Amino acid sequence: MGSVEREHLLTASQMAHFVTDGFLMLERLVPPALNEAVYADERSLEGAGYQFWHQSEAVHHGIWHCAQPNRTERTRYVFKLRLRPGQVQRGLFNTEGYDSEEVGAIIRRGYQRWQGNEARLDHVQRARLWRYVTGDDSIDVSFEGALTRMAR
Amino acid sequence: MSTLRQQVLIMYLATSALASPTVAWALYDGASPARARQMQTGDSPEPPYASVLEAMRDGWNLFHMAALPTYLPGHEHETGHLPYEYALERKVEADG
Repeated sequence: MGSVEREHLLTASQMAHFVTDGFLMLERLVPPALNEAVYADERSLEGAGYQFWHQSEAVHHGIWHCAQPNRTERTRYVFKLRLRPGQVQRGLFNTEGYDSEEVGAIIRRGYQRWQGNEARLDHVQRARLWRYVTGDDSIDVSFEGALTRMAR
Repeated sequence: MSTLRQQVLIMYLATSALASPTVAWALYDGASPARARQMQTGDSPEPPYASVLEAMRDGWNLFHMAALPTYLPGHEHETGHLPYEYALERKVEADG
C-alpha cells in the first residue's frame, strides 16, 4: 500500500459508514456524461445483448456490467466487489481521525429498524469490525463500552 | 369444484411479541398462475401488515412460530438470521 497517496484512499468517515451500512455510494465516481452516453446507447442500440460491447463506443466493461439487456427505463443495480485476498484488510484506508468522536458516532448511530431486539448485538458487531479494519484492537465504539467491559 | 389455493406470508418481527413491528417479510401466492410474477425483494419499502397481530385480524392464520433464541455462554453478542419468524397462511380463490 505504500505507494498509494492517502488522498486516494477512503476516509475514516467513509470506512465507518461502510462498516455500519455494508456499502458506500460514490455518486461521482463515474462522470455523469459517461453514464448518460452508455444509457443512450442502451436505449438506441438493437440486437442481442452480447453484441452491445461491439456496438457501443461508450461502454467499458470495467465500469458498467450490462452483459444482458435491460433496454432500460432505468433501475439497474449491479454490485461488483473485487477483493485482494492476499493482503490482510487492516489499516488500508486513510485512518486519519478514525478514533475521533465524530467518526465513532457514525457507528454508534447505526441503528436500523430491521435489527429489532438484536439492535445492540448488531452494534457490538459493528464495533468489532471497526477494531478489525482500523487495526486497533483497543478502540471501543460498542454499546456502552461492552467490548471493554466484557474483556475484563 | 373448489378453486381455493393457499397464500403463505412469512413475517419477521422486531421481538417475539406478535404485536411488535414487522421488519422483513415475503409473500408466496399459490393462487396466482405460474406465469405471474411473485413478490420480489425490494418491491415495497412498507410491510403488508404492521405486525402479525394485524395480519391475523385480516384473516391470516398463523402456522409457525420460531423458537426463542438461545444465547450460549461466550457467544452472547453474536448475530445471525432474523430470529422472530412467523409463517401465516390463508386460502383464497385461485386467480385464473
